Amino acid sequence: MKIQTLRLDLQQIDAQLDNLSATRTQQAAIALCFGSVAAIQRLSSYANSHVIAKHWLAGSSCLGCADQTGMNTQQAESATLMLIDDPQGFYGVGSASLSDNGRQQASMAIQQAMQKAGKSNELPTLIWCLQAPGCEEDVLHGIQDIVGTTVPIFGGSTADNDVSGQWLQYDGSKLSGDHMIVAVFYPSTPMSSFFSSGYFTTGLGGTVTSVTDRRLYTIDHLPAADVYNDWLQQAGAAPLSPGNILMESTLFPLGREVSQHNALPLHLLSHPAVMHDDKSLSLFSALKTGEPLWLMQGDKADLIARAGDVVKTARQNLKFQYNCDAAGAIIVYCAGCMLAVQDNLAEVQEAIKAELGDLPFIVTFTFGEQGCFLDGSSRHGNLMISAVLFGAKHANE
Amino acid sequence: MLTNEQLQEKLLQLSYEKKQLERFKFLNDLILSGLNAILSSDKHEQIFQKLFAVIHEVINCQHIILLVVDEKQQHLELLRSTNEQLSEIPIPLENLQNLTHSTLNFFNVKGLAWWDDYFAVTFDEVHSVLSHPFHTSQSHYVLLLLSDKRGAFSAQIQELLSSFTSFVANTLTQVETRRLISERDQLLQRQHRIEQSLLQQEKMASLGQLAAGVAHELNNPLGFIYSNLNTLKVYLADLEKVLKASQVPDASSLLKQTGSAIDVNFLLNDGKDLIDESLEGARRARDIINNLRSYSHPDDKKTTQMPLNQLLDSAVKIAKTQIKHNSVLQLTLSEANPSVIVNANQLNQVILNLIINANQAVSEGKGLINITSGQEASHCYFEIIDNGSGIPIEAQTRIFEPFFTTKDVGQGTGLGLSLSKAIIDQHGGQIELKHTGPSGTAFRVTLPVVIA
Repeated sequence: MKIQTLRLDLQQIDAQLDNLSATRTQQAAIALCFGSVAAIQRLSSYANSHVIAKHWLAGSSCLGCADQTGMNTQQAESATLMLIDDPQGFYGVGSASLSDNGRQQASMAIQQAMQKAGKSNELPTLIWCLQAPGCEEDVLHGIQDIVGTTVPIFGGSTADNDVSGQWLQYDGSKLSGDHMIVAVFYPSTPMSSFFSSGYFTTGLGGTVTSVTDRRLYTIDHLPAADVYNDWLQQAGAAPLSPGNILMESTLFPLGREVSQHNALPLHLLSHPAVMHDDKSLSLFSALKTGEPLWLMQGDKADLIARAGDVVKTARQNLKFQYNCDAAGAIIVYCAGCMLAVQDNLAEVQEAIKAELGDLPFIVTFTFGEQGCFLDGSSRHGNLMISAVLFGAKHANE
Repeated sequence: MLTNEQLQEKLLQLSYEKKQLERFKFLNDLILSGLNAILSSDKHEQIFQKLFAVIHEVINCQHIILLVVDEKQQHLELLRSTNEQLSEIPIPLENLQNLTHSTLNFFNVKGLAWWDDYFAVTFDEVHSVLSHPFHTSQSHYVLLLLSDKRGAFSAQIQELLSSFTSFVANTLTQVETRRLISERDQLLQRQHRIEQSLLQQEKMASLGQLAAGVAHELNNPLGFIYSNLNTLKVYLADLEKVLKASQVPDASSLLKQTGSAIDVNFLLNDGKDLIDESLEGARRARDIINNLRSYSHPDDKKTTQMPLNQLLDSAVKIAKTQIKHNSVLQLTLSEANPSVIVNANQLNQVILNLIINANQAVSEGKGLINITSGQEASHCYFEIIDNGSGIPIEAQTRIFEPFFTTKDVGQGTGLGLSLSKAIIDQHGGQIELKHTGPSGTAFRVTLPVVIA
C-alpha cells in the first residue's frame, strides 16, 4: 500500500499530469481527486488519465480542498490528486445518473463497481460514494439493497462555492453534474474510519409532525420556522428571517437521535438551508414523521479542532484494532462547518497534520456527508466530519 | 476546561475504545470456549462439532460447513456440516481455488457457479457466505459460515473469525504435533526393537559362520580329552589290579607277577601327561565357549571403560578360529593403548564383522589381515587392512546401506556394515572406508578416547 498526493494547479494541470505519467511505472489502483469546480472540469479534459490510474473518482469541493501541504481554498482554483498503489488490493468504480430513480441507479452503480474490481459477489471493506447533493438517502439505500447494511459506506456530496448547482462528478471518463460515483475498496491493508458530529443537544426538542422528504413543515403540529426560532431564542441566539439561513444555522442545526450507544445518544444532523415564507424549513437531509428532533449546538473553536480529533480517533482505532499505522487518509469536512470557520482553516489543516504528521491526506468540503456510526449503520447527515484511514501494512503481517 | 461538546466528543471516543475492548473480550471468550472445546475432545470430528457450537453462540449464522483440502486428489471434501443433508461428493479444487487462499466475504452467493453446483440445493435460502481458510501442521481447511441475510457478515465478524480460526489452527497444530511426537516416539521404539532384533539376527548369522570353525576347534580338544580319558580308564584298571594284588594276604608274589605284567611307572608318567593334556584341552574349550558366550549375549546397554587393545585382542582370538585356514592375522597395536568407553559386546561384533569381511575378500589361503591401532588427539582408531581384491566402485557408496551385500545369496545378510556403522555412531565415533583397490581394502574405525 502506497499513497501519494499531488496538488494540481488549474493552469498547469495537463503539464503536471503529463509529468506524473512520465514518472510512473504502473497504473495506480485508484485515483481520488477533489478540488474546485474549474479544476475538476479541467481534469476531466485530460486525455491520458487512464495512464495514471485504473479507476477514477473525482468531485468538486466547496472553495477547493486541503491536503498535507496546506489549505488551497484561498487560491480556489486547484485540486488535490491522491493516488493509491496497492497491487494486492482490488478496487473498482461505478457511476450512474441520479436524474431518475436514484435508488435503482445507485444499485446499478455499486454492482458495476464491484464487477470492475473483479469481486462481483464479495463484500468490500469499505464503500465510498460521491454524488450530486439531493438524494443521498436514495444512494445509500440503493447501495444497501445490493450489499446489505454491514459494510461501512463513507463519502460526501459534491459541492460548489455558492450552492448554485455547479458541482461536478468525474469517473475517469465522464464529467457530469447529476451523477453518483461509487468506489469499492478491497485493500490489502486494514482500514479504519470515524464519523462524528461534535455538536451537542441543547435539550430543546419536539417531534416531527409533518415533513416531505427534506422539507419540514411542522414540529409538534406547529410551524417548523416558529419552533426553530423559538428554540434559537431559548438557546440565546437571534431568531432568523425567511430566506437562505445556511450560514446562520451552521452552529444550530437540527438533530435526530438515531441510536443509543452505551447510553450515549448518537445524533445525525440536518442542516436547515432555507426558511420559507410558509414557515417551513428546507433541510440538507431527509426527516420522517414521528422522529424526535432536537436543537443542536456547535462551537466554532470545536469545529476547528474536531477534524484533528476525528482523525486521531480513526488512527488510534487502526493501531488498537490492527496494530497498524496509517499510510494516508481521506477526510470529509462539511462545507457548512468550513464556511463557519473559514478564517481559521489553516488551524483545521494544522490540527489534522498534527495527528498525521507527514502522511498524505486529502480533505474535501462537501454539501452532505455519509458515514458509518459506532452502531455500525451508515447514514447521510449534515455538518459531519469523517476520516477514512488506510493501514500501512498487510493485514496478516 | 472541557466544554460540553468536547466532553461529548471525549465520551464518544471512550465509547469507541470501550467497544474495541469489548470486541477483544468477546474474542477472548470465544478463544477460551474454543480451547475448552479442543481440550475436552479426543477426536477431530468431536473438536469441530464443539467448535461449531462455540461459533454459533457468538456469530449470527444459520449454518457452518467445514471442508478439508485433499491436495493429492486435488479436491475439497466435506468434513462436517450443521446440515446433514449436504452431499459428501468431493468438489474439484479448481472450482473453489479462491476459497482456499484468502478470506472471502460473499454478500450474495446466488448465481456463483460453485455455489449453485454444490450447495444451493441444500441451502436454498442462503445469501451470505463468509469463507475463511486455515492451516494446521497436517491439514488445510476451509470454514464456511452461511446466513440467510444479504451481506450478513461485517468486517468485525470477519476479523473475529479470522482471529479465532487462527487460534484454533495454532492449537490444533499443537495437538497434532503432540500426537505426532507420540507417534514418532512409538515408531522410534519400534525401530529400536527392530534394530535390536536385526542386530541379534546378524550376530546369529555371524555366529553361524563361526560355528563351523568353532565346532572344529572344540572337536580337537574334546577329541583328545575323550581319547585321553579312555586311555586313563585303561591305566586306572591296570593300577586297580596292582592295588588289589597288594591287598591279598600273600601279596608279594602276586604283586611281582602283576607288576611284571604292568609298567606302573609308565602308567603314572603317561597318566600325568594325559591329565595335563586333557586339562589344557578343557581350558581351550572353556576359553572358546566363554568368548562365544560373550559374543552372543543378549544386547545390553552397559558400557565400560576398557583399553582398545584388549578389545581388539579378544575379538581377534575368536576370529582366528574361523579364518586361520584362509588368512594370517597380524596385530600391530599402539603402545599408547588408549582407553575407550564402549559396550564391549557391540564393539566385538564390529571388529569381528570387519575381520570376517576382510577374510572373505582375500584369495583362499593367501589372506593377510593386518590390524593396527593408534591415537590422534582426542580420538583413537583401529584399522583392519586386507590384501583382498577391493570393493567395486559401484558398491563403495552403498556398503553402509542396510541389506546391501556383494556376497552370494544366502552368504551374507547385508546388515554387517550397516549395523557396525550404527553401533559406532552410537559410540560417538566414525567408521569409514579408508582405502580400497586391487591391492586390498582398509577400514578405519575412530572412537573418542577417554582422557585420563
